[in-house]
Amino acid sequence: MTRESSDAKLDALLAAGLAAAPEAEERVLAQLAERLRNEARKPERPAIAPNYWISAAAIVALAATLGLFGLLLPRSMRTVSSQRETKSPQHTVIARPDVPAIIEDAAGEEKKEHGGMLARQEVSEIKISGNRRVTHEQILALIKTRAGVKFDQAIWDEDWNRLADSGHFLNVRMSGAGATPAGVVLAIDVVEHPLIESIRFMGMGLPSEQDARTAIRSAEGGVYTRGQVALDCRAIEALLRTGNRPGGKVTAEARAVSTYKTKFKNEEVEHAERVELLYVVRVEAGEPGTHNSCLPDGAYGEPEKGIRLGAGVGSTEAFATGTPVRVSIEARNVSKEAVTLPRCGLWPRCLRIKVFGPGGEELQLRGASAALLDSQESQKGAATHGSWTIQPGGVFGQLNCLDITKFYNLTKPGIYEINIAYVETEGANWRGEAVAKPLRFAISAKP
Amino acid sequence: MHGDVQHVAVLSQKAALSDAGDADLVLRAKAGDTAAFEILAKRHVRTVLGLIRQRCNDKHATEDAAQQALFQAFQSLHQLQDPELFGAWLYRIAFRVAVRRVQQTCREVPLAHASESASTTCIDDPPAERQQAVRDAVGELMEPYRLVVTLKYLEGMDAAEIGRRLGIPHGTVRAQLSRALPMLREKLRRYL
Repeated sequence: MTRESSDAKLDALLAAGLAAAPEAEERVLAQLAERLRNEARKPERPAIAPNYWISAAAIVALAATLGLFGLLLPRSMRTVSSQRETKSPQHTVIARPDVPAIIEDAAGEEKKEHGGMLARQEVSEIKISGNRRVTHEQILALIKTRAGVKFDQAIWDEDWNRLADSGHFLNVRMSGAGATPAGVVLAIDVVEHPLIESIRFMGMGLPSEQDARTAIRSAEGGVYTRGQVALDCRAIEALLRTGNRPGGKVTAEARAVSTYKTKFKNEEVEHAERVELLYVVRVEAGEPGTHNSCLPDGAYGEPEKGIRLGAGVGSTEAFATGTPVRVSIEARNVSKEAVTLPRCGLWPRCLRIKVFGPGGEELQLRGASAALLDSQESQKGAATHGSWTIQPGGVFGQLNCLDITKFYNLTKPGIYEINIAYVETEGANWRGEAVAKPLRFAISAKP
Repeated sequence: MHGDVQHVAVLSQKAALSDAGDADLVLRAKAGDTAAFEILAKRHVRTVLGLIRQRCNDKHATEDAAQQALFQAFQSLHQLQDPELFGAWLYRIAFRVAVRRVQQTCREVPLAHASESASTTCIDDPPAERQQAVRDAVGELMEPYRLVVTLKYLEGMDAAEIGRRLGIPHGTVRAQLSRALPMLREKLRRYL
């Protein structure tokens, strides 16, 4: 075996062995977010808190009197950290905001004492809330706890595991909802995964949208799960690698297009019902002046004497007012011979740029920008910029080289269009007019 | 989005933060912006999980420890002197948490034992066995090597990126990688 193939095998082995687990990342981040939210809600503990203890004791006594303590403690009064010691990390219980933190610490120790009391009680009812597509019957089929039988904490915990692992839900919360003379009332609140309303792709470097859609497993009308979307991103990155864009990174953004609200233990929470999924491709390989091609084929115009010009606006097609809109420009040699462009800089004055505003009107250069460009023009661009030879199939490009907002006033929200052409009338080897596909992007008002 | 769908609704606000550098996000998080810290966490969770997984074989305990490390980092942010080096600082916390967790709960399987058990599981699940062997091999490396190997093969970073994240020259990263890879080759010889 050669050294190179052995190195490649080791690389592949290490990459496969240390492969990420998107589902695990999702769970960790979900728990962390929950914990940060709880932390933000948690009341600060007083330095000296005798009254706190008294009120805590009063609430503890009241809960015990009601016979709910054993039921409430395991699910709602434990802190997330104490829960972590005993339960699956997927368990994302939201601590009751109205319960002082100091009680939560005491609660864990009280669990055993009161668990026995609860075990002698009968379950009178199981209330299910939050489900939209999954039926009550399907949920009941997943759990073993039943109305009319004595409550068993271990079975109740297993029930949670089964619901959480069923793949139907983004979050599952379970607690005691109250007590009646007939027994205890249990509550299960679930949050289902949202559905995918639409999927879009943005950014430079995507070989073709059709290929990308084929590579991913998330589909319009299907269920949105963050783990699957993370795998989709990796799949598109693999596609980019085969398409000669090895540096491409793909991220996904999900925006709620419709929401609904649920109420659980007096807490109203808004959930996404349908989301719009956006895969954003970022190609960062390549500094100005290098030969890395980062624009999709669709960005290139028609060939002009062996040269096709392409233009793009980075990794997004929508910008907030005031943010830079950086244009990347590439010239690709599609002929069978080397082409020498007289000016390598692709400086704005080497290019013919026309910017059209939301109303279709052509925008004029800002005053200072026009003066700057004129000063460059007076130096006769062809003389100050060296020539650049592009080999057959090669690309000369400048990434994010031109912040168009510095030259034109793009403050009005709406759709803008930029027409870019590389026009050369003086070159010894190449003269012509290569036109890029019109570039469209949106400017939105600052949120 | 992290676990609760309501998070989706605030993603558009987070989009503005997602382009910010670690240092900016650390400063925001220090000022109490939990959304900024969530983005930091999202950026580094893969490495944190990867580092802990090399020490700890239990899936749930690994995730638990990762969450604990991130939360501990959030609570100790005021102690971080150089916000640029958040990554390196967080990984040290993750390492400490993993070691503590192993002492408490995790069942640590030394490489020798893993290899023994591999002989029985190899037919059924070779990728899992190989994966475990790789994790064990990387986990047995000394600290600077372990971290750079993890960042290279888990995050797909090059030497320059690793150097930036850890605050060390990229030449040092290259040197560490060139020393670590022969050690790994030796440990993983049977899979090559």
